[in-house]
Amino acid sequence: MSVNDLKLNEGDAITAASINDRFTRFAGSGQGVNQLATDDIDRKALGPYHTAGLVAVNELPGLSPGLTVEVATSTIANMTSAVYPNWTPVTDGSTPASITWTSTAGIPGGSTVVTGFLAMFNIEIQYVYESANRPTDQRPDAAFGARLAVRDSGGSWSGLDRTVRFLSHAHIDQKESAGSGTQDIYWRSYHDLSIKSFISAADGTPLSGIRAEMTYNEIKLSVVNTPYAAFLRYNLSIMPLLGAL
Amino acid sequence: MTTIATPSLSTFTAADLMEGLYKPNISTPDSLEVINGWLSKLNFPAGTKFNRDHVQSDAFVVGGQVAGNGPLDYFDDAFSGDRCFPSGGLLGEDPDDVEAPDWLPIPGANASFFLPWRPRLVWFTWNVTWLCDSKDTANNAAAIRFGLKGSGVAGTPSFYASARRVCPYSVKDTHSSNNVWFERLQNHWSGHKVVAWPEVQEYGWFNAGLYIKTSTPHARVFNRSFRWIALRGQ
Repeated sequence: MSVNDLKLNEGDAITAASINDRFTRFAGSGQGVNQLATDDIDRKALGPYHTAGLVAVNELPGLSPGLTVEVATSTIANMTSAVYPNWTPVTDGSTPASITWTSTAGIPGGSTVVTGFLAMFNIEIQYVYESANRPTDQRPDAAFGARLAVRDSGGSWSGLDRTVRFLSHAHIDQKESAGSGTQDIYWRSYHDLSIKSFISAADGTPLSGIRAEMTYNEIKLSVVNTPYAAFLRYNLSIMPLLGAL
Repeated sequence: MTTIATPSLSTFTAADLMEGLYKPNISTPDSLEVINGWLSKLNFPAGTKFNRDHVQSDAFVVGGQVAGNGPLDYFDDAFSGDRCFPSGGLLGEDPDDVEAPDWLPIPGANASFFLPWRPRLVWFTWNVTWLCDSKDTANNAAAIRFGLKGSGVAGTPSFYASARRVCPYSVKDTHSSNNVWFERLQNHWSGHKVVAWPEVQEYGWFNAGLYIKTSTPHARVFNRSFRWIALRGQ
């Protein structure tokens, strides 16, 4: 802020007009304190009381069910319809692992579309292998895959190949007695499969949702008794970023 | 607040001069008193921009992290003896397993932090590696879960069932004649949890981190790290 001060000198008249002239220099329209500049703000002068929060979630229209969707119940995944390379949305039978919003509605305070977000997905996988009198030289060989898919403003879902994560079955070998040809074996193997990604529409197309999808692949299905995969719990979270990226 | 209407004296008297210099007028500021803390964005020309140097640290975001390298050993006699799973069940949790006293916070994966404003959300992430040995029933394991409590958290201390993992384990061969190795099996968890308003709704202290419980004879926690990022609301 600069003020074009004009001092009164000895002998100058002190009148309403001369005082008003000084007032104008100090606070007239477009002058003095009415014409502050960026440099007039001290470094670190702006704090929480002066600034808005970064997350405008309350204004994100149509957000459902929220920033996070999670399931904590135990669910045995029905993988028959999602044998790799097919994919199916992750669900516990009622709750889909998806978060959606309305991409094109106006958002008060500025940007109007969500074009990018941070996404995290965690799912606990349990491989269970139960075999009665199975030959000792056979082991289940299976893999569980997960990926993220995004929904565009038209409602179409697209899987993101770069988010594909596979979890191969970790063999859990058990010592067998010498000469034993068959035995009952139970394997229970727990793993966490994690996806963390920043997602944006490279062409600026508004996005309107994200969901987790899964697939399953196994070998030797015909020679083992009851191998199956279950997912026990999962959570999917987003951090939406408003505006063009 | 608006820009200052230029004080204008119709006559030059001590009272008029005082009024122009100092008389507060909230509705229509027309004295120089407004410079005593009443300047606002309207005193800037339209389009004036500020940069990051003007904004205080922690005005928008507060974050931090903790970590630990040394292995930590836990033994089942330190816990109540409850199983980590229902008796006879493969999935789910033992109903008795939800009691907080059964769970111990893991050093290097827990933190207390203060938020000076109401958060819109707090994003927690962590990495942990742990193992456990086995026991001759199907319902024992070493489990780790995320917990959050504090003055800024609504309701009672919270454990989130979705943020819970168990260590892989092998179980006994049902043929009693067979020898079985109960191997030590290892798990890795790169987890996350977003806790948003209204679960976190006030400024204050937060205590968050990973907790462990084992019903196997021995569990060991290896490298672990825990991070949080809180974003201010409003």
